[in-house]
Amino acid sequence: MNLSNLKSDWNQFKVMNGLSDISEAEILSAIEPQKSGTGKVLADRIIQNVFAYSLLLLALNGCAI
Amino acid sequence: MSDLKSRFIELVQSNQGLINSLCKLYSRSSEEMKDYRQDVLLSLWQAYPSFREKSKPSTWMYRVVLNTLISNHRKKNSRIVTEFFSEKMEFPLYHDAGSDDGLQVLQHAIGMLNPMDKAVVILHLEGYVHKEIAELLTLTETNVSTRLGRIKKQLEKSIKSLEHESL
Repeated sequence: MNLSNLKSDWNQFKVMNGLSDISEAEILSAIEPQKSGTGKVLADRIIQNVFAYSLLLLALNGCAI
Repeated sequence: MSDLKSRFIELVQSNQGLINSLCKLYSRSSEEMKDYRQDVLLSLWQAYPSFREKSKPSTWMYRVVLNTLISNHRKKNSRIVTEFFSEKMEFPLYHDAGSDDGLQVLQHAIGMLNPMDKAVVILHLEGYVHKEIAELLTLTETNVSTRLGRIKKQLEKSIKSLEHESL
């Protein structure tokens, strides 16, 4: 098989995909990770885990009594 | 906005056909394609300081984008290997090459290849010689030649079967 036959299809494929724009906003959101957002998620997870662990401890203590 | 960012945005937008095409060939859905594009944009940005303006931007982009997509695919497959047979996962489900039969066949046939073979054939179609492909994908020249021989046979088989299906 001669792959050269597919070259024009490949070029056409690239041209077609060049029509869907990558917006400036999308590029900026990809390259500027929101650090505060990550910190907030982490803090939320810690709070949730502490709460769940406290409930578990209370329940286990209750069972022991 | 910094001058570096402005130049980066301009570079990405002038090569969006390349980025979109590669992300599409490696993804199985439009959502996955968007995720891959985000990863690719971040990788390009992280590698941007090492980009020499003297070299061809598209060559630099192919290197960064293909290596990011191959590495993403490996990570993803290692997570889902217990759920699916990897052979099945090589088949992309995302096809929207429009009504053009040639493009659909191209997208489907290349989509059936494994990630490294996809990269090899794409670079070959782009006109890179074996030595350049080997350098871009950190393979040996012999390995590239062997792969291309195998890929040709595989593509021939896929294209025949796809054309047979469409009859």
